[in-house]
Formats: sequence, C-alpha cells, structure tokens
Amino acid sequence: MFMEGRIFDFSALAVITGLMGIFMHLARKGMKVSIRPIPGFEAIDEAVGRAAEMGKPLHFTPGFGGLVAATFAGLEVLGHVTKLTAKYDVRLIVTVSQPETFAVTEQVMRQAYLEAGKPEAFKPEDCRFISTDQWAYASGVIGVLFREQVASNIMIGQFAAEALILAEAGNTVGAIQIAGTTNAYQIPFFVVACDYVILGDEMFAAGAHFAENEFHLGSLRAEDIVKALCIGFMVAGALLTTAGSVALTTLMAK
Amino acid sequence: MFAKKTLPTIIAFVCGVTVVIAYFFNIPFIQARAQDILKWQSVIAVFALGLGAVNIIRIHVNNVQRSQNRNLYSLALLLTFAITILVGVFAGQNSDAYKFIFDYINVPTGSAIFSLLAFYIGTAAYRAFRAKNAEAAILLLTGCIVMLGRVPLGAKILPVSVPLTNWIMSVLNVGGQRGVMIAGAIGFIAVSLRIIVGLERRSYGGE
Repeated sequence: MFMEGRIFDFSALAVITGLMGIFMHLARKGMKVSIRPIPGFEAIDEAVGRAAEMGKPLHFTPGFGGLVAATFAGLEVLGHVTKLTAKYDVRLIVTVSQPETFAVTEQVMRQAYLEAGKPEAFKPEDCRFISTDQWAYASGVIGVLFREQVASNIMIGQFAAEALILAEAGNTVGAIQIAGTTNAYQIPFFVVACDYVILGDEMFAAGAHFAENEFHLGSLRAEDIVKALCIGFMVAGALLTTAGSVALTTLMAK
Repeated sequence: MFAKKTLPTIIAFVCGVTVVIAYFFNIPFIQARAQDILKWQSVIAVFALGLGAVNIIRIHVNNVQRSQNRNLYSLALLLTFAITILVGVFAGQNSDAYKFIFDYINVPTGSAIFSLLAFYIGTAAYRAFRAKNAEAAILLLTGCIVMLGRVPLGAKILPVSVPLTNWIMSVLNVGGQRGVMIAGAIGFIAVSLRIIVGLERRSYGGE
C-alpha cells in the first residue's frame, strides 16, 4: 500500500502534523508563545517611514517563485506592508514574475487596503506582472527601481540567480533594503547587498510576528520542536554511523 | 463569503490531501486524481497568464496615453508584445520568424542581464570586504582564502589556501547551508499544512 521508501517520510509528516495540531490547540487555549524580535521585520516600519518622509514609493517583490511556501511567506509580509503604506499614504509598487502569484498578490493588496480602511487607495497599475522569464523579470524590476526612484525596497520570497542583480540595483538607487529567502545559495548575496536580511525560515514567522495569530504561534512552536528532533536525529546518526551501525539509516530509508 | 473564502478552502483541502496521499500511498484511483489535479494546475496557470498579459497591456497603454518620459519604452514593449504574439499565432512557434525572435532577441538580452551578475558580484564584494567590525573582518579573511584557493595562481602564492578552501567549502559552508535548508523545509511543511487546512487565509482574501 505504501510507496516504496516513503514509510519513514509519512511517519515524519504525521508527527509534524500532530505536533502542529497540538500546539495550535494549546496556543488557542492561551499557551504563551514568545518569539524573539527579528530585525528584518522590525525594520519594515523604518522602510515605510523613510518612503513617507522622502515622498517616494516603496517597492515590494515576492520573488521569482510560483505559489510555493516562500512566496506565501512573502505575501504575508506584503499584507502588513500594504496596511502600513495605506496608513501613511505611501505609494506601494509590487512586481510579480509568475501569473498565478500575480492574481493572489493583487487579492492580498486589495484586501489589505480594505482592512486599512482605504479601498480606494489600491491602484491596479501598481501591482505589476513583469514576466515569467527570469531575466526579463530581473530587467523589469531594475527598470521599476530606477524609473520610480524608490525609497525602500523589500524582497521577500523565492529568489534565484536574479537576487544579487535586484539587490545591487536597489542599492544603486539608494533604497533601504530588506530581503529574505530560503534559498541558501542566495542568502549570502542578500547579506552583502541589503541593509536587513531575514534568514531562511525566519520569514515563515511573519504571520506570528505581525498578527500574533495563535495558529501561527502554535505552528512556530511545533516547528521549533521538529527542529530539535532533527538535531537529535543528526547527532544520533553521526554517533551510530561512527560506531559502525546502519540502524538509523536503514530505518530512514524504509 | 462562501464563494470567496469557504469554497477555496475546501478546494485547497481536497486537492492538497489528494496529492499528499498520492505521494505516500500506491492507490491507483488517488494517483489518477492527483495527476488530474496537476494538469488543472497548468490550465489555471495559463488563465492567470492571460490576467498578467492584460495587466502589462493596461499599464503600458496608460503610459503611452499619458505621454510621460517613459512612453517610448512602453511603446517598444507594446510593439514587441504584439509582433511576438502575431508571429507565434499566425506563423507558428516553429517558424523561422519566431525562432529569430527567440534566438536573436530573447536569448541575447537574457544573457546580457545575466552577465550583469559578474559586475554586481564585484561591487557587492567591494562593499562587503571592508573590515569594519569583527564579523566583516572574518568574512574578508575567509573570502581572501577562498579566492586564493580557487585560482591556480593562488595555489602558487599560498599553497595552504587549497586544502583550507576545500575545508571551508565542504565543512563550514555546507554545514551552514544545510542548516538553512532543513529549517526552511520544516517551515515549508508548516505553511503547506496551514494552507491545506485553511489556516493561511490571506491569499483567499482573509485576515
């Protein structure tokens, strides 16, 4: 009945799902879940404030990815950014590379303007689909950054080789830059070119950080426990393999 | 409310659970439905591409009409957009004209943008390699060792840079990257599960 080699994977998913269910339930019941301040998220107020003071637009992009988890994390941040820009009357320009992400992004912006009490402030032409081609998307975003002379540039989502090109273009126009991605190969580029970087899985804490949503907080606690379990497995695996045992690797291959 | 929030949640749950079950269990009926869902995904993406095309046309027609400084760029985009579509539809994607557009315009311009990366790596490295504090000094030192270890001349200047580079890349670098990857994968699973059970409502227009 099981696909070959996926019994352990299924068990792991079942454990993660169970833990998430338990901790979401506990968080709803009032369990205190504290999260450490994440400088990249804290700096979003500064980025919006800078754009308001300078009277220039703020640029946001959820990256080159389709509707994957990293993009959803980016869109969670976009919701918060949109509300802030609506509050301070800052023009927000969003560029998107994938058509399915574009449709969702437009909806997220529309809803956030509505929640901010300014539905009329949403301008469809400021949510821009650029191109599904990686380099056309990169050149399109560079064009927006230069032509609009943005004061702040926020890039949170799925990024690939275009990451440094976008970050350097943002740096050239003098924008304050906040970036985040789970792509380990692109994080160093963001670190050297941006003012604030949201490292890897930190971006998945956006919902918990901004909205203090109990489901997100519970989920975050479950993620931490799963990470601890992973570290335990890695230490046990290293010790067992060093001792010549293949018990754990055999178990994980089932 | 039902069409905007409840229905998308139900669709996301059914599709998500079907694909997950198909991944773990060998049940032919579920496998077939999962394949159908993946095909629907492609069809929906094509419709979304139409929305994207409309957005591009709307923005650039507005630019042209407003006669702003950028109207030449917008005009060029609209012209090339129209020409490419007309050639693709009437001459076909295997025609010489379409191949010409792809091979002699699209590919070289893409390569030109990609080539910017080489210069940007230089400018970013110049800024990053200023030893302003302890962390930047460590980055500078590590960067210098890796650069020396990666070029033949570096091995002549400082022979120890080669084994040191290999150690930095295969132990320190891989260790850090795997940490990010594992934590990222756990986050991916958490977000995906929240989407499947309808707790990630922002994308449906919820709070």
